[in-house]
Amino acid sequence: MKEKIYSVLVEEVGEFKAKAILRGAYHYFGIEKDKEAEDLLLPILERVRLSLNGENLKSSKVDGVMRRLQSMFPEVKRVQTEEEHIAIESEEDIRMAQMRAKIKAQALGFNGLDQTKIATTVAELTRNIIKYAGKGTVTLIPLLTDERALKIVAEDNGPGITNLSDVLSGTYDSKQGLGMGLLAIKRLMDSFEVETNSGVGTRIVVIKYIK
Amino acid sequence: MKVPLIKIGDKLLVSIQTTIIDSVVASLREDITNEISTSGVKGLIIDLSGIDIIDSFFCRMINDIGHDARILGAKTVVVGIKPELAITLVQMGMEMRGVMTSLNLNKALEILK
Ligand SMILES: Nc1ncnc2c1ncn2[C@@H]1O[C@H](COP(=O)(O)OP(=O)(O)OP(=O)(O)O)[C@@H](O)[C@H]1O
Ligand SMILES: [Mg+2]
Repeated sequence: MKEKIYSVLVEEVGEFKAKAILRGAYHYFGIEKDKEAEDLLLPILERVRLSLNGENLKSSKVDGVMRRLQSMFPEVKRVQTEEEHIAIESEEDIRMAQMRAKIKAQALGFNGLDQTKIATTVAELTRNIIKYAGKGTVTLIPLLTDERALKIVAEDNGPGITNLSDVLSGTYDSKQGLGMGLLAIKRLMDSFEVETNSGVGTRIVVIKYIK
Repeated sequence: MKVPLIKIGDKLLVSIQTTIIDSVVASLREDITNEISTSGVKGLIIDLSGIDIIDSFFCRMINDIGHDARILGAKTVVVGIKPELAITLVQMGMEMRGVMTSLNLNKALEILK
């Protein structure tokens, strides 16, 4: 897989940059071997796209390179509209989840700004899971009704949010953070619901509609 | 994973290219404060052009670094924040307190002159 991507990049941007871009993309996810990379093909290609943008190439050129890359991998063509379940167990899973959310949002047709809002929301939710509950899951659910949307469900069996009303009214002073994360999510998303029980866990459901 | 620090004249340039994990934050802050206090630089430039998501955790890290630098007598300028990140931060109600922001490296160097 690495070889395939590399060969295209060499033709497009030369050996030196191709190597740096590809190494950067693999490094970003902390992977070395191709075997671990298979699941991460889409995130890796997304990192490649970001690096190409960073090279000050024309965006039409970047799009061309990406089309070439995607045509080599049939699995990318499969529409990214399936539900996606992501286990959140370590800090590495945070960036993985935010990247997957961004890609999914892109595939569904969200604009760049909304892709950023969605990825940021997932970053806040998953960091809370790691910080307060230890582990949990995030599910990305495309809603393909008249109004296309992305629903994100974050669940854990942690201690629960005991002072939810203080948190959401902004009067809560977090010891570990700024106490901004949940309020921020509420502002970034179109719909925001929290179900939490002390000692049982927390389930947060947010929805963002495509404008 | 180590974040490189580069000295340009009497300024220090830190280029953060990827999401930082918790364990790296402490050592990054330590490296920066050590460098500022030993070399006495008066300006710190944090380049975020490689960053595509800024969450509250990351924002706090930048604020903390800016605070560290200020105590040691150096001004901090953050450069290269992508427009969609800036818009998202504002909507989230978060801000980078105590640090200045500028569009690019040249402008940052001007501010710190
Ligand atoms: N999944 C969770 N399980 C248990 N408690 C949680 C969970 N998520 C949030 N909390 C509690 O709610 C509080 C507010 O969370 P929020 O994300 O808004 O702020 P924070 O994490 O403290 O700081 P920031 O997100 O700004 O870094 C947390 O301090 C924590 O006590
Ligand atoms: Mg939080």
